[in-house]
Amino acid sequence: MRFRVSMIVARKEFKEIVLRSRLILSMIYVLPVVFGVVMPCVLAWISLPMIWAPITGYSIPPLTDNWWLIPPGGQFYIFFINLYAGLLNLVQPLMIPVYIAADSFAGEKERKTLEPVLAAPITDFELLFGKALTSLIPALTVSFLSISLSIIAVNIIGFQVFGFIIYPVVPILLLYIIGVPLMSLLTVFAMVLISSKVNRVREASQVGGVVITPVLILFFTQIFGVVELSMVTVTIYILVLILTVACLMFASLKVFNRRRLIEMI
Amino acid sequence: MASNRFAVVLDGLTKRFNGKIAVDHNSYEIEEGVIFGLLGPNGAGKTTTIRLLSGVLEPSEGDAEVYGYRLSNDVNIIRSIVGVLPENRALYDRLTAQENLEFYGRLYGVEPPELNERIESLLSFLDLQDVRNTFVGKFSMGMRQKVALARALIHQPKLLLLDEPTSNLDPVMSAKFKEYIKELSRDLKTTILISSHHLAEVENLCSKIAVINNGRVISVGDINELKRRIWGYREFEIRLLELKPDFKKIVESISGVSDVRYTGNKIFYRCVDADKVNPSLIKALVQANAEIISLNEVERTLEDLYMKLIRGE
Repeated sequence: MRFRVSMIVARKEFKEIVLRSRLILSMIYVLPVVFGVVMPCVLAWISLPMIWAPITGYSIPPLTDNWWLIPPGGQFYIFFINLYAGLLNLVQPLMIPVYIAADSFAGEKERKTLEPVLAAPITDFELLFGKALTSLIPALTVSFLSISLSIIAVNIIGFQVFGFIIYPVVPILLLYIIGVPLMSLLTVFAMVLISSKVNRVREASQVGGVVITPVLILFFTQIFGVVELSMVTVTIYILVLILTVACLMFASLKVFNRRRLIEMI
Repeated sequence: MASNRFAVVLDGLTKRFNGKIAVDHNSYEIEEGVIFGLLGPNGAGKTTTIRLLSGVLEPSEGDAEVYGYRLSNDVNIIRSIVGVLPENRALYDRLTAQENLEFYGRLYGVEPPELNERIESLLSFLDLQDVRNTFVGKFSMGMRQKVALARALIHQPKLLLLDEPTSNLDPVMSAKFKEYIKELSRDLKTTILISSHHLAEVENLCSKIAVINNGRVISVGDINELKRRIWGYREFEIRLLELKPDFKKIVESISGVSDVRYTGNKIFYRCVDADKVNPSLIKALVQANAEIISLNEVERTLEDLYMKLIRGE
């Protein structure tokens, strides 16, 4: 595997797909601002009254060292803010690669530009890796930028009230550090598989929307109290993600075969 | 490594798609530096042959050798020495002409400053300097064709596979392109395989051809030799100042002359051994005081040969 060759592909794809697509460029500019600053700030601000509200019936695991000093309403507020800000930031590593990978994999089939690339001295893995980088680099950059902005924005509000950093709590931080790259990888490999079955970018991105499901499942199980946002649940979630990514990666490597691809053109 | 007399050796090369045969046990050789024509009707297997030789498709059976490297073992080396112009041109519309060439140049391991020099010279040869920074999506078919040609040549391949290379070029560019192809073959000893429906162009460019139909090779070899082999005789035309009845008797009496026709002052005849028949015939006519203006061979075109091979006409 020659990293240099994959980077040549990634650079070309970045120029062609990311820099010259209004949709993807606008996502890159707008998502961190909306999901990282505006929405978490609005949520953090309008939810402040719940700190003093007498909330009962919730079993919330300790999310910080000072947990038992916080009134129940405050505990719920921290839980709520972490969950929503977390959801907003975890959708991005899934959403951005859907569009880039759809254009990169299904788009190449739709525009019938694959043949000369497949005739060039590049292995299937180098090509796949280059294309994956095109999706991963913007997705991770935007996600971590958005996460950083949301941490600053939420704590500007939260620190004044609680006197300590309320977001991200350790399980969410773990999801950010390990889960975000895994979720981007999951999307890329899922898109390779989807693109092997469809021939249009639009179809691929529509079908690709289902990859957001794992985050939604995590979110709704929290909301309805099925599982708790704890180190244990997040660790299990990450392990499931690792397993899913590994399975999808093997399936993608099998599907992303130049001989199969050219026969589809 | 095999002998370097042949640039390409097809050895029972076969490709099936879902059980349907596209290339059926093709075996022939292409000599180094030759311009070789691949002819056949639509769906004959020309594009599949090109895709097999460029390492894009894997043979279902058989093998091929390109400059001593076998498809079965050294496909990535083969890819690095082969340049391909696919039928659909396959350019990136959202990249400029320059960016398209830079990408492929780098992919083939050509780095600046050499890459820049090659791009410059190809763009200049193809009259594309003024539009080098224009997105390819805005180009006409002819201009796209030129960029695709430049892409196939960017790494100076030893074997060039061209699928309908002049189909969208204007006559001036087409003539210029043909000259360039001849130059590549003559000066750089580049072996060139052209798949085309443009028979006059193939006849003008290629010395050898393979005619394929339904995936099978019907005929392969030197164009003139094939013509001789297919028809088994040659046809000549004698133009006289005046055609007298006595001359007809003389022509018909010469042994080896057959199928004689007369049109105005012209005599048409066929013979197998022209080297023996023509001198006797000319001598007899001159002795009978015939005033001969010219003696020409009636050339069979490649189109005649193709029709004969494909349709048996």
